[in-house]
Amino acid sequence: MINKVKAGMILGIEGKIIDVEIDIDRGMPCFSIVGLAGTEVRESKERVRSAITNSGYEFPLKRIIVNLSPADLKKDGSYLDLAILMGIMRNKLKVSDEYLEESLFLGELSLDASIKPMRGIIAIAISMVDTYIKRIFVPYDNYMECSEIVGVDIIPVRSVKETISIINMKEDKRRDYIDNLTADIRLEARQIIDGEPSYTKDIDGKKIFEDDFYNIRGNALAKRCGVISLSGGHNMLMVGPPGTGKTMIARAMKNMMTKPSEGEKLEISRIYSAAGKLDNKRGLIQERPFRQPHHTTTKISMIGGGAGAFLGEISLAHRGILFLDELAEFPRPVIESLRQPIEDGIINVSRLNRSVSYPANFLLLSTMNPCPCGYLASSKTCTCRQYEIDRYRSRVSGPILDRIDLYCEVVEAKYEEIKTRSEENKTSSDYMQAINRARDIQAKRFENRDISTNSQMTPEDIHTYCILEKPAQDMLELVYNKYKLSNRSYMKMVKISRTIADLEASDMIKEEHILEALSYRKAYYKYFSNELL
Amino acid sequence: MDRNFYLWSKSALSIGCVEMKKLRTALLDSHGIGNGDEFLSNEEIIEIILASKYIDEKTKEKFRSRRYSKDYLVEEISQLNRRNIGFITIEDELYPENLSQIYDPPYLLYYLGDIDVLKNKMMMAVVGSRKASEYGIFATKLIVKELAARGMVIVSGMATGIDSYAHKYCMEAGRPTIAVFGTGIDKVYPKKNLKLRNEIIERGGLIISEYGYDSVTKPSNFAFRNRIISGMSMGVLVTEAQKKSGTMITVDTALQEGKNVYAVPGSIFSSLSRGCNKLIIDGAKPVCDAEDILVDFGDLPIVEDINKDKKIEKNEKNIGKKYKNTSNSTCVCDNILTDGVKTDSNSNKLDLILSLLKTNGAMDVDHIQYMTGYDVALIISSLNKLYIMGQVVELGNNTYALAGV
Repeated sequence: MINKVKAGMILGIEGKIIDVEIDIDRGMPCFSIVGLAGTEVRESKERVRSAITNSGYEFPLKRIIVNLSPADLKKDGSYLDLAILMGIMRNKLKVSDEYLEESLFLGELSLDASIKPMRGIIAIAISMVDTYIKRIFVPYDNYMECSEIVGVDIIPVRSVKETISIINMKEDKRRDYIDNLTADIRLEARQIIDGEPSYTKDIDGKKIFEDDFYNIRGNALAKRCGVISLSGGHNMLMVGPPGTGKTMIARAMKNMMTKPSEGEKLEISRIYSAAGKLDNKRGLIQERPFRQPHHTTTKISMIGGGAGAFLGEISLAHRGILFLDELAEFPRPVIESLRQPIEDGIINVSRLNRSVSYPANFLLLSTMNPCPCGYLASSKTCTCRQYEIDRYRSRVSGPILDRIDLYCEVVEAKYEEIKTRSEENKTSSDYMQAINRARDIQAKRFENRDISTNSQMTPEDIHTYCILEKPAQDMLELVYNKYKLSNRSYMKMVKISRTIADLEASDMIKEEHILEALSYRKAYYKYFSNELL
Repeated sequence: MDRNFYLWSKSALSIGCVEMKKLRTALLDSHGIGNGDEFLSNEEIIEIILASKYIDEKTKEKFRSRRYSKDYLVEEISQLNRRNIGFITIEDELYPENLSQIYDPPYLLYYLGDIDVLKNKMMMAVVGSRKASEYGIFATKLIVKELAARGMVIVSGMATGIDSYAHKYCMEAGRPTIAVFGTGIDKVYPKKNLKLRNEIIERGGLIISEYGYDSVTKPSNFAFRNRIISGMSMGVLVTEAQKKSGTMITVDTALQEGKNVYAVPGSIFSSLSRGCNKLIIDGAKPVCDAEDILVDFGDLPIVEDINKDKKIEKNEKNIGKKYKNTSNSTCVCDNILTDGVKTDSNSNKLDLILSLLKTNGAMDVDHIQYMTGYDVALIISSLNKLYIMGQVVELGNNTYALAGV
């Protein structure tokens, strides 16, 4: 008698269906697994055997062969435990073969027959949408992350016994039971989220985040630059002496990101689930990620890879911000490896036996000092030699600088700015309204396109969407000639102007937008260009 | 003695500047050679040198060590020609008179570019820190442009920072400039100034060095060439310098050579200006604009563009289009700008910012926002507009000041 059950496993962030065939035959009692099974899969024999006995069933004393296909795919992880068990217990399941054909079993067994939460469940579940799979049995604790998925029934199960009883229920009773179960889980998750302390505090009658623009004195230009960066998805570099607030601005920008759309939430959660970094109890990730790898980070941990083709920081920053503090301190190969992902929004990681591609569509936010000692052109004395400064700056190569749209200098705040908490100092929440509006305008603009922000516009898009008023055209020509702009710088200027115009909800790009955009190129010329301006 | 004698001494025998000075004095005083009357061949002069008892034994040894060879010189000159390198000797008419009067004048200088630049004797050295601040750069721009426009030739060392800007702004004023290298004449240091070097040559300027092609660059050469920069010039202007820097070496040589030293005063809190302020304390003349320098040379004949026409003609031949375009575009800019101001509806706000800058001096964006309460976007775009119109200057770190001094 051959029993067929479906299981799934994760490959990169994609789910793969694994056919589990179990042959229970007469002969010397034995239990073996074939089909390129990894260590974890071979160990599942012992878990399955104990789980069956501890559920009160009898383990068949027969010759049991488990075959996993496709046979050329290496199976890692403990995803197959539940499916193997169901295959062996097939005679206890009172459903048709067709029912099992449309069901996917995911779960790691404990020896006491309970089912443990696992990483990557949502990643597998998303891949099953629009396939012949109709329902997925997932570990109880993983239900919340899959709760938003439509097109596939997600059935949370706590133990082997419960799984078998759910399968054996009548159709309408089964539906009621599952609905009750999921309602409980949702309620529990709701309580956890509601019970968390709020991120904002009330100061001076305003809602303030822990890191908030309200608390950053001075540096209006850098703050404005941050707002533009968030609005248009433009990569940004802040240059300034230590202690002037570069990192503070970046941290505040973390709280000012727009809320991700439903689709984006799934994308982000899928990546975090595959990386095993998802908080099971809270369900889908509701915020855009903010990743801040340290500058001692290796290339592998930055872009992903290693024996298991793990996800790198750039993928974990997908749809969010990758913040590289002290950009010039990162090893050069690490920075250079960012070139292709910044351009394409995905990263291909090739390992010995497989090649996977991970999404990596992030906003690059970075800071650096003007020189190795940090104090060039500040009120303190710079002790660097010119060649040291040149060498420090050249650590960030031209191609990377090319991919950065916004440059700004962060300067030391004056005493009167520090001591006065100016009433006009806007809070992050105030800026967020404008950012959200600008993002909405862009969403409308690129409705039928695969891009979502101004920063991703191609030269053709720029021609279509960036319409300049006559004075703006004249001004751009003037700036172009005066600064001897390259074609690329010109494109960037127009893109930034487009975002500034969006922030003011202006259809046309006006003269002052062009003029303002010029400010965010100046630091580039000052620090990285060999041209004398 | 003809040019070949000097070339032989320089490239084949490596005779030093002071050594050559003694040799020339001895030949002139004791043998009457060198006043331009005699018609002795180089072989005959060398024989006299070897027989003379007034000449140092070490120098004689050098002349004895290698036999005078015309073939060598022919080869050397063709090598120089192939590289477009010219040379000028201390006896040539165009050799700067100021330079020949210093303690150790180079008896032979290699050059690239147009040697006729030396016809203009109004030379001013402009030197300064490699780590230039916006203040220093702008001071350089202000003074150099005016000096150049009034007919002075700017001499500098093409180092990073102030030196580079001195050359750049001199050329922007439409005048040729002179760069003195501490490296071999065919080298470019720092490398990023390759473009600047080419531009100096293309725009009719001059590059000189006492070190020939293929010579090894020694760090001490840079300090040593400073005597040429100051020696050629009528004075040395320091626009920004730290207390201990290479700039101070140029100032020292200038003082030894008896040249005027000018310094642009700076903030007493800025380490980049401490050198200049120290110079002023020690007696250098503080300079706030070009007039402060020009007044010292008021009775000197200003060579008014003796070869300006020639220059432009030449430029057209060399780079023609490129040069013309750049100058044209700046002209066009200015015109559009002045038109733009009149029709500007936001001019009230611009005026307010201008008047703030007038009363408060340099202000940064935050300060302006604090004073006006305007939106930062408006302030930035207004400042950029004023900047493009040339009414304000940028001092770095988001700080702006009025352009007019």
